[in-house]
Order: sequence, then structure tokens, then C-alpha cells
Amino acid sequence: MDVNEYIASGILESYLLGTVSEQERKEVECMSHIYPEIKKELDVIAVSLEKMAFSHKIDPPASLKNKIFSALPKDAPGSAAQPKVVPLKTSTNTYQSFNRLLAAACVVMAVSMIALYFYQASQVVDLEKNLRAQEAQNDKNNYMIASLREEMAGKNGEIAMFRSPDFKTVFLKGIETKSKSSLAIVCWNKESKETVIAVQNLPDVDPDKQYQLWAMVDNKPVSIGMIPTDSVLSGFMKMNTVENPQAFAITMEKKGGSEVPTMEEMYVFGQIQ
Amino acid sequence: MNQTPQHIDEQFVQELKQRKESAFSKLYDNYSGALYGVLQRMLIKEELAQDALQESFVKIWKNIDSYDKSKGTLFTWMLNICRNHAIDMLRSKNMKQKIQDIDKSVGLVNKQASASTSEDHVLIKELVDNLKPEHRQMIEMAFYKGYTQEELAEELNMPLGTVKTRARAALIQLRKYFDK
Repeated sequence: MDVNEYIASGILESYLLGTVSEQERKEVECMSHIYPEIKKELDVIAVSLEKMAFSHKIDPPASLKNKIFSALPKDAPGSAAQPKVVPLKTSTNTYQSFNRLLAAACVVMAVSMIALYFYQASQVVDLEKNLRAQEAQNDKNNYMIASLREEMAGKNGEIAMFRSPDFKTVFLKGIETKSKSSLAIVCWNKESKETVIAVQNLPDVDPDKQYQLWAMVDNKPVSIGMIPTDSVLSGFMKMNTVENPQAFAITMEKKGGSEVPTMEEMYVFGQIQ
Repeated sequence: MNQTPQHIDEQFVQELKQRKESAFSKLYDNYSGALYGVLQRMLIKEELAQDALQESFVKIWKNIDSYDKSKGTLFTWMLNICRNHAIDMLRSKNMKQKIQDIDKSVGLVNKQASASTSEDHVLIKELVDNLKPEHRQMIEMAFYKGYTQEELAEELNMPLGTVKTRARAALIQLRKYFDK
């Protein structure tokens, strides 16, 4: 409904002047309940009528006040003073139109309820979708938190290792002629003899080849384990224990490793300081 | 007092609903003049206006519980009670013919009132003199004489739609007048 059109129709003024029919009166009261603009307009017009009444005020004779106040039914204020129920003079006509109005109101109500139902149903579907998406995201987040925790535990372990006076850290640097930019870090625990390695950079290997870690003990190479092909950048890996090493080296060997290192295929080397 | 008291506090309405005589006394002092002015204008005869004020005030006393602030000001509510009462009086069969005669053409009311200097007619101030005659006529007939829209259309020989538009125009003019 166009509120402005309704206001411009002059019905509000007619309502306040008291010239509307019963049905129109109900309509205006209903409309002013629904639309605040209409209520506001009604109030504004009412004020000008009030002002008019006040500008034309005539004081009634002074004696009238006493007369009126003695006529007030004061014997039982409250309950007895309640308004009497006055039977409505309803011609069939206004009765019918009222019924029609009532029926129309019911239809409007029913349609609104159905619309509301569908609206809410669609909202529920949306909410469920949303919920499922949130749950999936939640799972992902939980998984990520778990892996981050794991990673952090690993890093904390590494930090502890670097700080420990028992660990000797050896940087295995790339052999100039072979792979200058290669690098691996070996940490060896002089108490427990444990060895761990972190590969920073080594050239890719053919599928039938593999890197092998050697420790130099009394000038003899001792194999302390094969390095998995996918080990680059995966953090520290535990290798075999070794007694009293002086240096470490990595060579590229056939898959599964060799008894003795192929010296031509040595990629990195580092001595314990 | 040209201003209507717009702000009637909740407390005062509560006191009215408890039928406190002091509150009604205050109500009477503040509003009886404005209400009586309207009744006088509607009923012309002083004694009728006084009767109407008395009966309306009794109705206000009895029905104050049904006053609903959300539907309008207390004054508008009382004004409607007075107007409805006066319209009922005007429509009672004895009065009707008489009033319609007086009312035959609008504006005559005032002349009639001032012309007949007999004791039961008081002089009524010209209704908002700055209004256009047709707007004044609309307010006079509808608000003060209780003509229905159909009666107005018939009386003024205008379509119903024009009656509504003119009613709106009249009240817009009235609003402008009082907003000055």
C-alpha cells in the first residue's frame, strides 16, 4: 500500500472531523496501527484541531463546575464507575461489512502465515547448509591445529637439541665440483651417540639411486643410514648411532646403499669441530 | 491559553483512572473552556451547551479507563466524547430541523448567533478568519455540525472524493494557520 497516497486521499482528515463511516473509522485506526507515518500524520492533524478548539475557548459559567462535580457518580469509584457495556446498534449492513472485513483480515493473516512459513523453512535450509559448511571448516581447522602442534613439538625438540651441550652440530657443505649449493645438518649426541640429519638442499636423485650418510671414524667410512628420497625439507630424521665420528658425508649410491662409499659421488662433507 | 497541553504525564492519567477528584478538578480547569467553546459552537444555545458539557464530563469520568494513550491525546479523546454527544443531540428529531434551518447556508450560523441577541445565544467568534471560505465551511459543517461525508456531498453538491480532498485541504490550511 502506498502510505503517501493514503494520507493524500484526505481520509485521515475526514476521520478526525468525524465524517467517516464506521468501516472507514476502523480502517483508519487499523492503518494508523500498522503505519507509523499514518499515526504521525493523524497526530499532527489532531493537534491543529486541538489548537483551533483552544483558540475558540469559552469559559463556562463558574457555577457549572460545582454542578458537574456533584453529578459525578462518586459513590463507588473504580468498579462501579467502570463503563457500562452499551449494546452496539448494528444494522445488518454494517454487520456484514464488518464480517467481510474480518474475513479479509483472516485471508491476509493466512497468506502472511504461509509466506512466513515458507520464508522460515528456506531460512532453516540455509542455516543447515551454513552449519555443515562451518562443521567442515571446523574439522579442517582442528586438523590444522593438530598438525601445527605436532610440527611445533618437533621444532621445540630441535631447539632443545641445538641448545643442548651434548649435541655437536655439523654443517655438511656442498662439494665445489659436485653441488656447491647443497647443504645438510647433522647433529650428533656425544653422550647417547644418536645422530640426526636435516637435509636442506640436495639435487634430485634418479629413481634407482639414493643418498647414503657416512660417518668417518678413524679415517674409515661407516654407513649410518639411507636418506629417504622425499626427505628434503621434512625436518630432522633419526639415523643410526655412531661411536666417535670425526666427520660426516653424503654420497649418492644405488638404491638400498653400498658397502663402501662412491667417492666420486660425494655431495656434501663436514667435520666435527 | 492558545496552546494545548501536549504533555500529560502518565501519573496524571493514572490519577484520573483512580477517579481522584483533585485530578478531575485540574482536568476541568484546563480543558472545560476549550470543550465548552466547541459545544457552544455546535449547539448554539447556552443551556444546551452546558447540559452537553455536564453529560460529557460524566461520560469522561465513567469511561476514563478506556482512554488509550496510543490512540491520541487525552484532549482529542475528550473532544470526541463532547462532539459525539453534541452530534447525538443535534440529530435527535426535535433539534434536527431547527439546526438545519439555522445552518442552511454556512456562515449564517455566526450571523444568526450574533443577530439574535436573546439571552440563550452567545456571540461566537468567527471561525479562524484567515481560512478560505470553502475550507471554513468544511470545518464548520463537518467538525461543528457533524455532517457525514455523504451529507456534505449532497449538501454541497460535490462528489464524495472532492469532499475528502477538500477536508484535507481545509485541515492543511488550519495547520499552517496554527503553525505561524
